[in-house]
Amino acid sequence: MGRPFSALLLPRNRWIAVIVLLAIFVGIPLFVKDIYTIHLLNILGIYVLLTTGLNLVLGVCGQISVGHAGFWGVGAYTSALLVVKLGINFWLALLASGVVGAITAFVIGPVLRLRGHVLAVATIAFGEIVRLILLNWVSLTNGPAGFYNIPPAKLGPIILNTDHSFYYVILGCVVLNFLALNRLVGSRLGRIWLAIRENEEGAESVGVCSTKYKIYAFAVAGFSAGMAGSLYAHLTAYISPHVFTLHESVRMLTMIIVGGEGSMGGAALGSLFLTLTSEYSRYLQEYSLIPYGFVMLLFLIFAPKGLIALLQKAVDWWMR
Amino acid sequence: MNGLSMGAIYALIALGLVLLLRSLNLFNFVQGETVMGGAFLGVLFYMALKLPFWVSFIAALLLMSILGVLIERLAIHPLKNPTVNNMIVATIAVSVILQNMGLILGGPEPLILASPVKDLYLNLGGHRISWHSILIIVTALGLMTLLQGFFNFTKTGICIRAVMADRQAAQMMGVRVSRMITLTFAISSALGAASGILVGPLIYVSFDMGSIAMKAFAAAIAGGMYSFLGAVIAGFGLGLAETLLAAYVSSAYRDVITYTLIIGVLLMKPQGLFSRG
Amino acid sequence: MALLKLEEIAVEYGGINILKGISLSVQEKEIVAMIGSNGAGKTTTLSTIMGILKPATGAIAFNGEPIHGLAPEIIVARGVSIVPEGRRVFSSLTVIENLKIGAVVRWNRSQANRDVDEMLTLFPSLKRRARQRAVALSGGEQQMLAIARGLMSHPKLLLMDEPSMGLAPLIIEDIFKILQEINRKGTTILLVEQNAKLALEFAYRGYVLVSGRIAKTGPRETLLEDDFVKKAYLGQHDIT
Repeated sequence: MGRPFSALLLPRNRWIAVIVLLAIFVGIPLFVKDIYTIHLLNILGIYVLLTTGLNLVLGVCGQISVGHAGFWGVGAYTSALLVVKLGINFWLALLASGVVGAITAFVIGPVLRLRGHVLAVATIAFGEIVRLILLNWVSLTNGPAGFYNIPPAKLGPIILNTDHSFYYVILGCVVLNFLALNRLVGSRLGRIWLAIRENEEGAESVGVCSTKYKIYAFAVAGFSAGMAGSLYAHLTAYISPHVFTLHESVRMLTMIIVGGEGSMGGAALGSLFLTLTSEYSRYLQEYSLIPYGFVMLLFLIFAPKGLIALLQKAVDWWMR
Repeated sequence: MNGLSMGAIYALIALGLVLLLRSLNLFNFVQGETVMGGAFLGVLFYMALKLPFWVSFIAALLLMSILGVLIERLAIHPLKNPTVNNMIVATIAVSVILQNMGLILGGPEPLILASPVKDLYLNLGGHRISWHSILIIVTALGLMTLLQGFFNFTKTGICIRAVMADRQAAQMMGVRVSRMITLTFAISSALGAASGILVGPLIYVSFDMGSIAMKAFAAAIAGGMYSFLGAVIAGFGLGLAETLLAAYVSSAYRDVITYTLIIGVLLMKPQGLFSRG
Repeated sequence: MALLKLEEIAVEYGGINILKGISLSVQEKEIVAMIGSNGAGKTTTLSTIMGILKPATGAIAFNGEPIHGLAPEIIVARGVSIVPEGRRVFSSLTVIENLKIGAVVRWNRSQANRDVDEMLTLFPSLKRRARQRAVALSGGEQQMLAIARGLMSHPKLLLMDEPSMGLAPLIIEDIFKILQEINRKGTTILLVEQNAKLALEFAYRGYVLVSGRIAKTGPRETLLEDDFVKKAYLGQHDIT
């Protein structure tokens, strides 16, 4: 599996590369006027938030979760409800969504003592329960019709209702998320997660309560996903239960596999790759989703360490 | 009666799952798509080509077994690191592919699969029992009996059981383990296909009908992931429980309850209700 | 010509060099013992002969023909059979079914049934439990089952991996009497044992395996008298 901390490929010049990358991303909306592209980048940013969190659970802690869209949905609806029904301002709602996402992990906490296929099935069940509740609790969530006209975020007098302006909010969240997650992975908590990934029983036998730490991993991922939900709600101004499906959870899983399990940068890469390919395969219309399953399989079989490993090899080869 | 026939369907699917769980420790998320495949083939052979039902049935089972073999050879066998997580992801990937092929081939609208016994009912002491339910139960029981016979009285069947008991020891005795595993996949897919073609007339036949297998997943787990008898009993139990619940709860929330029950059972006894310790 | 011949076999497993180049031979109708402590590589050697593991270098010949790198089912068909460490009987299968698996490579329905009967006669304790699942058998009975299963394919060479492990002394005696009888009837035996005294008293010749290499070899009398062997393996008794 990939190294947990391999966000960038040139260890020596790491900070330089980070700053360059950051500068590029900050600069893009200033030079690119095309709304479609910026919107795509915004969606990408949201997926990066989702997949880096999921990567913490899967790649670092080794737990399979096929219900991540559940956290996403919880966050999105929390934010929408707070802003629309209670008039709370966006920034608080953003934070609250993250918190609610994390709390959800604690709520399903006892479930996380399961492992392997049983956990996979349980996470699918979780995702579906969330979706079904969102779909059916019409008085709260508006049911299948969804939530319209979610007001955009406001920064003082500025209304962030364009893709270009909201871009920086998303970028900010993504960067903070990256920093926080990397910090966590390098900490003692991260080491415990890795130990659980390598050998859950072994970790237990030396006194690690694996369930507790698994809950922490899910909680962190839940926080990121909750925030991603809030961002999504205020970006697209419309959410419905049809967004937060099992299909999406699987898509996030694919992004991680393709990008490289265990690596934050890999998650980002995978998100980029798949977002681009699904955009460009739109013209395939109804055939567009088959390549997506094949891609997953191909990577699983032929490049199990993902894009980031391939990229690493390419960089190594180029440096020779 | 409905409960029993749905139960039979769940039991068949769950059996297929347990087969693979015991031989490979693989939780086959594709099982839902084999159900879909069986139903689609049923539509193709029985509705479109107007072949006799039993011919369609056998043809569907055969074709799906071949597909099962292909899946095993192309998606499972080549995995260099067959950890539990990787195999789960691989089967999820295949399930995505198959679902979308289903969407392409079948279109987004549900297809119709009629029952060979149409909508005929049997009047028994005031109760109306549909012939189709009877067909389902009889066929399911028939298949289970066939399987029992296969596993207990044929060389290959005993070999597969040996592989399930101790793969390496079986290899040491000269059993061709990978061939047995491929065969197990074929049988498991055939079971899924049978469920699909039998359940088709009862529910919508469409590319996402595989979700019915989720409930069978629950039954398989509840029955003890490695127990055949447990899977069958849990399958029937689930069918009955669902029918009882339907009288009291609206269908949307029924699913929520099913899923919550799944989690509940998993929590109480992760090894299932019938496992041996 | 030796029935079994290993030449400079090196085997890696999990990145570790377990066997570092061993050579040994077994003549027809012999009983040869391989002794050594845990982890020396005894089971690895047998697994490699059976084809479960592939040697990195070296050659294995059986009856003059190379068998290294071949699949286990071919090797079994050629006449090698193994009684694995820890018995490894199929617990959910009945005694009869276990025996039938032993004959998988030479399956001929009537022959197999006759062989099953023959085994049950040879091992009366198994006959009593013929239709019970193997999991219900005692340790000694399971060992007999494993041996009978190994014999079902009429092997020329029988590999035995630690038959005495976990068994009471009286049972061990019975087992070795049976092995002697099997050998008398013409089956060659390669025996791997941690209980060196037992192994060397039973075999004609022996090999001493230390950390993946053959440290010593010779006829049993020589080894039994050897200082190194005495100190390392004969001073202690099995604490089972």
